Amino acid sequence: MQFSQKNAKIFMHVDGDAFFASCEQATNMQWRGKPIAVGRERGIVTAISYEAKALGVRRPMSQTALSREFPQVALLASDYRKYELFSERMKSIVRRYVSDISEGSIDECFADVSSVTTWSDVRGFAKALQEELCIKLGLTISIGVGPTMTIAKIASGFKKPRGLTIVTPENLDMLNSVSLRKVPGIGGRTEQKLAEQGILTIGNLLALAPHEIERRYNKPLVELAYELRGTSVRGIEARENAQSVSSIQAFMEPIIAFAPLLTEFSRNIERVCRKLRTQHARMHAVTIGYKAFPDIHTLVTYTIKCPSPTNDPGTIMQLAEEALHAMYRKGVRYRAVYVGTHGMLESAAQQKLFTTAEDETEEKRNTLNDVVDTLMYRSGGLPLERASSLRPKQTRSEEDTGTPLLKIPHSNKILNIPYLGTIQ
Amino acid sequence: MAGFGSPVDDGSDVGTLEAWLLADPDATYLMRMEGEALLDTQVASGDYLLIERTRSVRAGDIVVAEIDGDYVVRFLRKNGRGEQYLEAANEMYPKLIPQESLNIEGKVIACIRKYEN
Repeated sequence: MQFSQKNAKIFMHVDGDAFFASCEQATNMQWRGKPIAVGRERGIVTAISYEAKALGVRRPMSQTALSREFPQVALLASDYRKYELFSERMKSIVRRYVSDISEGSIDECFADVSSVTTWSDVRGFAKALQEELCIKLGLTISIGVGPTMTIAKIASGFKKPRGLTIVTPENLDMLNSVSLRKVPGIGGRTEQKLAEQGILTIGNLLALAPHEIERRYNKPLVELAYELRGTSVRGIEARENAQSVSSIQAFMEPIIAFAPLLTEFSRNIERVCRKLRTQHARMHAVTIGYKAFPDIHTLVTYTIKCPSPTNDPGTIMQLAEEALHAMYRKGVRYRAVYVGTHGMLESAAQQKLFTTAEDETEEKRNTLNDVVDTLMYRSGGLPLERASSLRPKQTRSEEDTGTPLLKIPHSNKILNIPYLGTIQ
Repeated sequence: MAGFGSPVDDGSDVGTLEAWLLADPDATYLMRMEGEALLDTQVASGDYLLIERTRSVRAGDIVVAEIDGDYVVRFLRKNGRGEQYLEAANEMYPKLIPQESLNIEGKVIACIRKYEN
């Protein structure tokens, strides 16, 4: 299939370089240019700065191995709220250039820039955006541009850090030598299956005629092949509908007792519901999960269907508590909890012709949640939380935790502006 | 007729203190002053500073900068030859003239002192 330049879509992928480590370096000037790693709360290296990468630090790597082999590398606890603040700023800056964006994950976003630039101007456009992002965030960002979302994403990974790679419909050949391992959407098993057939690179895959690809492989791979040929089949909108909201929380010290574990679930349920309410979305089902010793990398999950679409933490907590009682095992050392929406989200409450008693209860809860949201976010931030979310006072060592976000006194809130520590 | 006066409506909308303080909310950060380098300009130890990361920094601005590997907050100055250096607002502190590097992190756009927690 051939597309004329005029009709071809232009997608951009904006990707934070070593994002978590970069956020830590951005908020602690002493760590600029120094090798650091993130993931202390899990006891493994989950993110590393470019300086640490240059020394040979790889992930995953255990804390023990890191301190033995690279004693000069500081291992910090991750601070997701800090990364979220930077992520929101990144997306807000991108949104000033183009409204059609898909949020992707915390350190990246996609944008359809077809309506705001052309192939001949896109380099200048992307460069200006990149420069503004780097100056305002104090960290580096890579940008990839291509005729499809898949190509844009591959392109952003071409020359990291602070890379800017543009793959026009005319020079798709430059992707031919790229290993399929680097193609988003190709998992380990697919990669292996293709390798057995001698297909190791994008060029190898695209050497097959489209009808041959359709005959041999399943739909996701067929779609991917179209994307790699420069024919966009994945749009920004399709991704946004599929978006989910989740929250995962790892603990510095494993939790063994039921009550504190329930508290952590409650906090994360509140966080997910809050996000849903800001998006005016409701979930049909909720997935709760945990990670526990000794198999700390496996997320064990349970999905519970909601009686009706909801974003009310009270409703979800009721559903979850029952499941939590069933899944809780005495003596197990829990390392992290997870709460996430399951399946498609509903964007607004459906209008019903008749209301039932349940609807009225729901209506009351909605009103309550509105009040809570108003008090928490619009009136200077009152410390409102469900009683089940209140943690006992914690004594936790503050060393190696990075520059913490500022706490608002007499509340359990943090200020929504990154704190860079003291200056003389 | 008694009652409330009605001021002339100049068409302005109502804005928030936050929007006024944070002209560019995506580029503004918070730091805390330590020490007395800016005492003569009424910035005391413990005050909070709002820092904006921006390209448009001029001589005369209070800036957060890296100078030869150290991070400080000072006035940005220019000498007769157009070379940049940093100056405190306190005669006890020496002028800082870069030997190798001077990189501006951002400029101080506000100083906040809270009297109660």
